[in-house]
Amino acid sequence: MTTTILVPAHVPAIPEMTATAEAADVTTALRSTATAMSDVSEWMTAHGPPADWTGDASQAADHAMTQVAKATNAARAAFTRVTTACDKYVDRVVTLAAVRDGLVDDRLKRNGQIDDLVNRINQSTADDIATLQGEAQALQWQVDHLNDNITKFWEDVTTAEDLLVAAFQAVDSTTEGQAAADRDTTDITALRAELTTLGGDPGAIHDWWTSLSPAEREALKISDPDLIGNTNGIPTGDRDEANRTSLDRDLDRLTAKQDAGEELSKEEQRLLDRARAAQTATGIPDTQPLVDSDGDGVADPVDVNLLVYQPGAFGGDGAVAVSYGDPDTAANTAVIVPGITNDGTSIATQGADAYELYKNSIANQESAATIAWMGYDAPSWNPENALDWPGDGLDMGSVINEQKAEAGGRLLADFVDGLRATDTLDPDTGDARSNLTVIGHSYGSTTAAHAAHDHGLDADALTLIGSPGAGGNDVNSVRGLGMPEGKVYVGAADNDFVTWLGRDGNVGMGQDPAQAGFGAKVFPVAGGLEFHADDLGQGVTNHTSYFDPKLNPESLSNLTSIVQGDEPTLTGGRTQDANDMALEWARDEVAHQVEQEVATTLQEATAVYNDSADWVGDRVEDFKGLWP
Amino acid sequence: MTRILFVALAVGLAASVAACTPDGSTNAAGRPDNDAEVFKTEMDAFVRDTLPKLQAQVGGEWTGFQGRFFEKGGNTGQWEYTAEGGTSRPAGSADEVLDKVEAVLIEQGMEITRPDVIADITGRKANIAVQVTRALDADVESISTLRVTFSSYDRLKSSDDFAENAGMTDLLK
Repeated sequence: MTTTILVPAHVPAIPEMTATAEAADVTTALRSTATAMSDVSEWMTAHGPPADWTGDASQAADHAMTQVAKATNAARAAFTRVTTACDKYVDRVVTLAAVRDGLVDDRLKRNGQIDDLVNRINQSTADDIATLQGEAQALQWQVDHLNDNITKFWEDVTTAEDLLVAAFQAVDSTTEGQAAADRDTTDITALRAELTTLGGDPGAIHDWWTSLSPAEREALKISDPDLIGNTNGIPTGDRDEANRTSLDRDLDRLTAKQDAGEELSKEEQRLLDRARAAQTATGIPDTQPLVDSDGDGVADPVDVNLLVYQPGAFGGDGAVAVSYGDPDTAANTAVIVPGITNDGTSIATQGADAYELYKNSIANQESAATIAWMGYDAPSWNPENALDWPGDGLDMGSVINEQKAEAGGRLLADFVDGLRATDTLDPDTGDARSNLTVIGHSYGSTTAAHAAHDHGLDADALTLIGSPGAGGNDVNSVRGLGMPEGKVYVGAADNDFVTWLGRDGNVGMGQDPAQAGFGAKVFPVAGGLEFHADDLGQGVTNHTSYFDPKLNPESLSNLTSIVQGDEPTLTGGRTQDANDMALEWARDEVAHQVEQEVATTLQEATAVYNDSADWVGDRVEDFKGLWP
Repeated sequence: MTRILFVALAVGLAASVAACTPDGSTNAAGRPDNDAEVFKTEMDAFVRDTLPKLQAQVGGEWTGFQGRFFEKGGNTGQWEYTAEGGTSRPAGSADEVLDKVEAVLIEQGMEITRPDVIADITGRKANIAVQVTRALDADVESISTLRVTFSSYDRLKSSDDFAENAGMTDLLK
């Protein structure tokens, strides 16, 4: 007798969604266009015809400007509407992509169960029939449920697309755009005033921002992207959107000018250089993608956020900060503060270091955000004024004082306060705070130390690498930094000349934090190769390798542990005074140079002797020829 | 003394930066006269030769490997050329996969070490360095992702302009 057991059919493959989170690029482009329209409309409204125009010409110009202002405001309203709709659509796409991932996993599981059941049926006996029929029915119910969910998923995809299309259709004519402008009651001027009255308090700003309607937030991002993108307390995602709008605006404007054959002014060229550097930094994960861990054919995504974008700040040096990962949701966050030779143009370099740390910090599925923060005016290098040293041209002269570190310390502390204000509650642990580490490198370590000592830096840990001094006259030990007990870490390569500069007393940039007596936790790093005065490049390499996985894996490994909230490997602090290390190098260098000089002189003397001997020999041969 | 020394070192640093002058010239033999361009040519050829062998041995879908220059540590005039990519869930145990990778790299003439920090395998052939890093699945037997990074070991110091303008090179194609 044959018994039939009905086994469910395999669930067919679930196609990829057409849209991905990269649709956010379209949102940024729409927002940039809305910002351009907003700028034109505001300018036209605020200005009249030239003062020396009178009569009909003046009236005609005034009328024309009013009409243009009205039309561009209508276009601004239309673009605002579709930007908001596109923003919602991208959020929906991200959610739906996660739903699809779950369905794909379910499908694999159910199809595996079906195969397993078929195998067991093929090998079954009559005694197994009842059990197997029961299993088949249960599996059929689960497969039906999965198919229902897949159908619902595609309905949701269609609904999201329909809503987006409807939003575009609602404002695709001049009349509809004007109607949208008439309905728009958002008072931008009042919102700006409200923000100003909050006085830069990140907590208050965050509360105020979250109290606004989505339309008000979008309107502000469009009208004032530079303000919203760089205000501490505004959530990371909104800062990123606003700053990318500004970045798009600058790139579009300046490249269009270049494409039209117009020459950029020096200021415009500097701005374009900084904009391009920010673009490169945000694109690093595109060139060094994560591995496709779920096998869906797409590299694992990296949530890159442009947290600061002020290309004209600090006299044109520029301020930029890029985060790999979202600090509002990451379990671990690191803020890297660079030092000398850095400005807005080097953000891609700093971004590469931050991204290296990010990759290591998430290697085993931990969540992290690492931020390259070029948010202060570090002593930098301005090749245009190379001979102007030590004035503000070469800018390196300011390395020997702490003014920029002091000013930067305040900015850093404010930035970290902003991160704390926007940190969201972890749904799993209920913990509101990311484990936040500030890593100061070189002059950036002095800046970070000032943030700690002068402004109560609200970080969980402070790490100083390649430090020329822990800042100020009042910091005599780790206690002076005011950080949580046991949470100041130091890495100093033996052949990093910058770490020889910290000292006792009240000059220089404060004490060498790597000294055993300072009391910080010192972790081992590669010492770097010895170098001579005629090869300072090696000294520079030693100073700039703390994030380098090849040249200094010990350092990168220990920094990763600290960022993850773990203890690094520890070693004893230095017992030789930093200045003695410098003097020892100088003494050895003098000896080395004298030896080099003697060796060179000997070589030259030998060469001269040999040449002379050859010459004399030749002459003797000549003379021999005269007397046969 | 500290101030004087630091000024000297700072000037030295500036001088070393300034010494990295733009250079797009060629030498008498008609070969590029700067280390970045020379190295890029060597590494691109090496990676293009090595990747198919790694893919054949390890299997799986490989992504990434866009060769590009990064300036190191700020505006220092010191550059690194790097190309990174990898694959996920290669077949076999973690040890088996790493052994296969090591065998390919040795065949390609690299000197190999197995460090216990940051990377699982490091290799070097002249100035070409490789780092292989794996992330483990929860069962710690198999590999979830395998990341391979080729780069210059020593910094490239004599070709600011070339490195700055080189753009990206897709080494998987």
